[in-house]
Amino acid sequence: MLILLVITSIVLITMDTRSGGSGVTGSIRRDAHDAVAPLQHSVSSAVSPVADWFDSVTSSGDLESQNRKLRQQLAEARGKAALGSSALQDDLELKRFNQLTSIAALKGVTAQIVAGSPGNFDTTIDIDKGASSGIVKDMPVVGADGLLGRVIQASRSSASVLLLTDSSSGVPVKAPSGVKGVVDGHQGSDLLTFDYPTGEAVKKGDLIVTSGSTVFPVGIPVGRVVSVKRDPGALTLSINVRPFASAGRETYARVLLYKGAP
Amino acid sequence: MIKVVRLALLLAFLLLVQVTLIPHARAFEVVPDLGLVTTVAIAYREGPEMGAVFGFFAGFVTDLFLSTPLGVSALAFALTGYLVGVVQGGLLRTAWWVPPLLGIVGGLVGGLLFLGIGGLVGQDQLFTLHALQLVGRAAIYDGIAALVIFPLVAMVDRAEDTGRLRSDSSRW
Repeated sequence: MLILLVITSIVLITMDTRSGGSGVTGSIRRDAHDAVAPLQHSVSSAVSPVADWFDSVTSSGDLESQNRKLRQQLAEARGKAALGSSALQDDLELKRFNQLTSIAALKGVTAQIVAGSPGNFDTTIDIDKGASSGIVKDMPVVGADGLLGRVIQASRSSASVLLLTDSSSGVPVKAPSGVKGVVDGHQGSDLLTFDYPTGEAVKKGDLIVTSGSTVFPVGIPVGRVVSVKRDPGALTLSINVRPFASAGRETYARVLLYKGAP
Repeated sequence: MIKVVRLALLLAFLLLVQVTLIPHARAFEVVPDLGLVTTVAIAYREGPEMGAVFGFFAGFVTDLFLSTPLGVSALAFALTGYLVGVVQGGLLRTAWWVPPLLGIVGGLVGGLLFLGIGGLVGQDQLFTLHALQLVGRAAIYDGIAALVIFPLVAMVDRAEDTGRLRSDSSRW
């Protein structure tokens, strides 16, 4: 019996890996998500106050320092907001000139975040909108402050989003100097890493935005450089980027209905 | 046959709890795996074969909600169920600490098997020191969950036994 189960599991793994989330296994997954989506939404609404309290108890050590940092960031952000709005206007005009896709011009679907991953090794969230709202796999998802991740699976009424802090996530980005690269997530860390050429200028506080790809349009704010480390003999600088958006702080997410060129 | 239906209903109920309620109970980055703990409880009561079969189905339905390939949890849980079923014969059944201990051991074995199988099928992000730490923390949470799951499984099993006794006595 055990041998039969082992063989069946191996067949399932092979089928699912080869189909890449589509095919029979993908269809079963989407149906399962559709079946539990209404319940996820109800439970999320009902338990969120208790869940927030539980979260605050288990992470109380970090709260004080986070609060101090957030106050400081808020003060900085207020100062920059006025400058930002005029810069955004300029940016929109420039993009129109260059016929680039502007994030502000992209249509999007706002969805509620209803649950995190039920497992321990995924950094995903579930949202309460899916294919019936026009959401398909590989669409970018943003929070109130910046990029959150991308859709990895869309059923009829819900979708799963892989956060950019997941180890298997890689987002093409660019720095203010024009240098392009990829920011990677790491399990257990809320920072992203960016391997940056040693000869190029970069400093703490630099804004990192998406550089444009088939999944992510140009110019979505990703995060800010928080540290630059130079290892002796290394060809690249090791840069840590703190993402602007965090799924833990967001209640809603916006899926950008962007389909880049194949 | 009735037992299969009861166990299927138990599995469906626990799956719903796992995907709706449990993500909100994340502590120290981990959540308990109710499917795995139930597999351990079934294997403890019923032996290796039943443990492996239940583990396969519990893992399969868990896989539907994870981004890792379908079948990884199914294989890891089936093997865990089988292993726990094999060693259960030598355990002191009445001791109160058996369920949490088995929950922790099952959580460790199941978690390590999941990482190993996942890594073998190309999920490189599972081969990290942090992933091992998560397995350790989750195993403790599984041990706590076992305090609830084991009596629940016993209740389902006992209801079946009571039903069987009643039908036997009516035959007499």
